[in-house]
Amino acid sequence: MRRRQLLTLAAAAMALSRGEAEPFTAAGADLSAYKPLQIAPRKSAQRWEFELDPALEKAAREGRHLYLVLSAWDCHFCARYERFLQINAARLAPQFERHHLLFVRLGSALEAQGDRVFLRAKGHSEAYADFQRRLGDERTGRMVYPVIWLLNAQLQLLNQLPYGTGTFETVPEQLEVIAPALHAPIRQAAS
Amino acid sequence: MQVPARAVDASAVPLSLYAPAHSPAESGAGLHKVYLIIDDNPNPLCAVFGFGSQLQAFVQTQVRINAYTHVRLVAVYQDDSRFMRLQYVKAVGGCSAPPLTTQESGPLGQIRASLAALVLPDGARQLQLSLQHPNHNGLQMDPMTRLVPPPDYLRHLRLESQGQSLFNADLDFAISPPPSFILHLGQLAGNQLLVLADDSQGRQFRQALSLDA
Repeated sequence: MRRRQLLTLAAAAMALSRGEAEPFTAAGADLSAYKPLQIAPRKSAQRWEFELDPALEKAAREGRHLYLVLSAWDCHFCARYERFLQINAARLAPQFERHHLLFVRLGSALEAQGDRVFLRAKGHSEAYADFQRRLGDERTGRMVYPVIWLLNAQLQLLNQLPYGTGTFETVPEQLEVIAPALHAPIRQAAS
Repeated sequence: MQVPARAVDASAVPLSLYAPAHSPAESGAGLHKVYLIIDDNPNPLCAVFGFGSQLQAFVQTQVRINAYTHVRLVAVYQDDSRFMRLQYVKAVGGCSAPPLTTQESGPLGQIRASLAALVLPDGARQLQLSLQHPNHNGLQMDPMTRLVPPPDYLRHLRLESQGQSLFNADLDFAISPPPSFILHLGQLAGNQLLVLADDSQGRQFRQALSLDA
């Protein structure tokens, strides 16, 4: 396990040295059990923009909801949460599957704070706070990494999650926050 | 007492508390003080409130909660009888959450008050009182600069009308910024309020307000 983490970290460092985006999880956590869809931002000096349409289309096509994780590779709390997911993958990954969740990871960095993070969906690009307001998400005052959303493929909130992940870093509490996905109706797109 | 079971924002957990004006015990003694205690915060005693006769013992505010904890309201009456309500709250990291980036603008210490037009069934009206202050608790690290602003928070807030005390609050750093309180105000003889406050840096604030505005 330790060796695998070190290898992942080394690969992340090499990718960063080549100027690539942040393609790896915080602190090299292995989230492969969740089959994550990784989305890297389009970056400029003023904005880091994440394109959500591929995730929304995949979720609609496969009849799934979205567990969207905006995580910074250099953020302590992101690393802690992803480590929690890794350690408990044997118990949680099948539950994510059962709850019809598509795990989507938006790879970011602490330098991209709320005013620089943009989310593009269905042709509209919005700054973090505007995106949150449109969703009806209460978390508009500040952006705290990691940010997690539980959404359907129509970009509607299934559960209002709190700032940070500190209140669901146990298996029962993680299951509690994803529970609404189990019974939420799914509108599957025609393939 | 009302407080959410799981907080969306641990650094600003909405909380409202109410205590009967007279002791539920046989004596029926008047209310002396109301203590707000957050068991597992770095400093559990969050606030001590005192209410004048023209104010109901009701406060709505926002607090920082650092860990899963019980929140307690203890009402102490003149005959020393005490009554407690408590609720368990799931919240983590409220005391170390980074400072808000979207604070209201305004000069330090500016006090705002607004009186709701709507009269509540018991004849009281909601008075919202807020003070422009960073209310740093000394535990919040800026994620970019890694700097921790020193403690700088409101310690006392006092509301007077015609020389009589309406509301008195001894505060600690668990009050979320900007410090804001909703009170239930009964009939006043005049329409002038005087707000007095001081903070942990020794600054004093004083502002006369007219409720006509």
